[in-house]
Amino acid sequence: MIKVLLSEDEIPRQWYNLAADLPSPLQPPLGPDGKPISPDMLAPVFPMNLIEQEVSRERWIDIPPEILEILYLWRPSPLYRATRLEKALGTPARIYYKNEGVSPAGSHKPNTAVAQAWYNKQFGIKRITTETGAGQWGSALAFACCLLDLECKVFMVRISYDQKPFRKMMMQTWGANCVPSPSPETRAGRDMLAKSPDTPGSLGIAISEAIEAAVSDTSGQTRYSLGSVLNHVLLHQTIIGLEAKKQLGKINEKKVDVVIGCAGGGSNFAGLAFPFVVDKINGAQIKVVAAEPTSCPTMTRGPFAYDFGDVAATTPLLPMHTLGHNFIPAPIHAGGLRYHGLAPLVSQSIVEGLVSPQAFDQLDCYAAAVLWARTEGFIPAPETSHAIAAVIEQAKQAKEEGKEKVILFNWSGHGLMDLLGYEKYFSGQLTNYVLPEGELQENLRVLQNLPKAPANKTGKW
Amino acid sequence: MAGLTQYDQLETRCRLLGQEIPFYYCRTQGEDRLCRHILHCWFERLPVETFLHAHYPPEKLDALWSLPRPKMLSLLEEIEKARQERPPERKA
Repeated sequence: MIKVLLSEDEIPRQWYNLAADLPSPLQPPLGPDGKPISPDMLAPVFPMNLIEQEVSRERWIDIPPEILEILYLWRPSPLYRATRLEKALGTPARIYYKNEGVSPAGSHKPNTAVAQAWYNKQFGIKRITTETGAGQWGSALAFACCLLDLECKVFMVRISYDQKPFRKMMMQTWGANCVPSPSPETRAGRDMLAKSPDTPGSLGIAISEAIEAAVSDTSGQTRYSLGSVLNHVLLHQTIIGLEAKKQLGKINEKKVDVVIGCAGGGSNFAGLAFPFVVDKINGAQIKVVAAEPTSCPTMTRGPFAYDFGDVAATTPLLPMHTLGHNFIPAPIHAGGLRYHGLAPLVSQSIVEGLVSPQAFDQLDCYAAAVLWARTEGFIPAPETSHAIAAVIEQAKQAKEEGKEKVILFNWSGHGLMDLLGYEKYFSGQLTNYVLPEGELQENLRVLQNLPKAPANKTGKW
Repeated sequence: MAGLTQYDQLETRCRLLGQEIPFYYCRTQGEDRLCRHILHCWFERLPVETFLHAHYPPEKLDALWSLPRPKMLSLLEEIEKARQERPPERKA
């Protein structure tokens, strides 16, 4: 058996919302005035039907049939067993993966792009704006808007627009208007161009432009869309894990031992993992691993990992000079650390101990990606390779222990737009420049005695 | 003291953009503005904190130590900024 398929009538009809089951509930984030952010404050950028999902504590939320009709283009996505990788590793573990690279845009991103576009259309919106870096999210939203006959405006960071042209072409092919950011189309863009005409741009500027373009449309028919971090985005991705459960059931695979996903903003990880995290909350013995790179780690280590007592940074902003007291040093793995660039639901799962973050070296990730491509065929995106590195580590551990472990992970997207990274790996340009331990410790020394804020957790895991 | 541009050619994969970028981009973003993630992304590969203290005044480094805002809060701030630039007159 290589792959397990579901028919269209077996697709899950509801998304799963982890917010309903988290043992330490998320608090509503506070606005600049220290008061909870209310739904109407977000109305200039999101339609109310998505805001309702953002704040919902309902466990199950129905997937409208019209959204499923579009998802059927590639969903249910296949569940594969990576038998060739198992053989190459000589592991007794059974390795399964959801192939999210089969979507038209080549990643998991369209799962929420389609849903968001549909809800916007239901609300009477005609045009959606967004920002994108190298274009994975922008191309997913362009695809979704195309199928729903919505205008799509993508502000693509100039350095990516110039250096990564293929995603831009994908967006254009799907009819989106993709412009380099900063652009002359917004006040934020014009101000930046006046100061620095040759600027390569930044994601911050692109976000400002996309929001300005939505807010300043006096017709009220434009909204903004975000591809990660927010609760409703994670919600839409849970179809991945829910399908996987059904597929594993079909082949009588009753217990999963390890669930793995790569985590940047957290949406692809959450999409696979959250339906299993709730099993863990209810007593199942499952290890849930969120994989990230050792370069720029946000969950596992680093002198600037943050651990505040309140999970969603519900503390009002503090004066800048006092903030250093909230940083804690963590040069080695330290579960429970988190970073506010990560989705609050994922962050809180880490704090609770339901999810274990783990960092992997860039070269190990590329080596894992190449081994994967040479055994399983599909060439993974660099982000996906972090999950593969975690899978290989778990599979090797199973071999050492002689255990028939069941490993499930999210193959979140293909790397066919990222082959330059592979070229740099093959030509040795990705050699790590790891600091000597003594120098690293010296860099960390100044932070070593700072206090750690109490974490909001039950202590059960 | 080694120069400001000594690490400019080194590359890393930017998690925000999803592509390889040089250190030069992290320390300028095209306009002499440090990326707030520069310490986080480079601390294991370079003596980046020493480098920054050697080449930048303290007031430029302050932002690197500030609390990253929750996404919701930064969205609200962007909404407010956009409204101030051009107040909307919504029909809906």
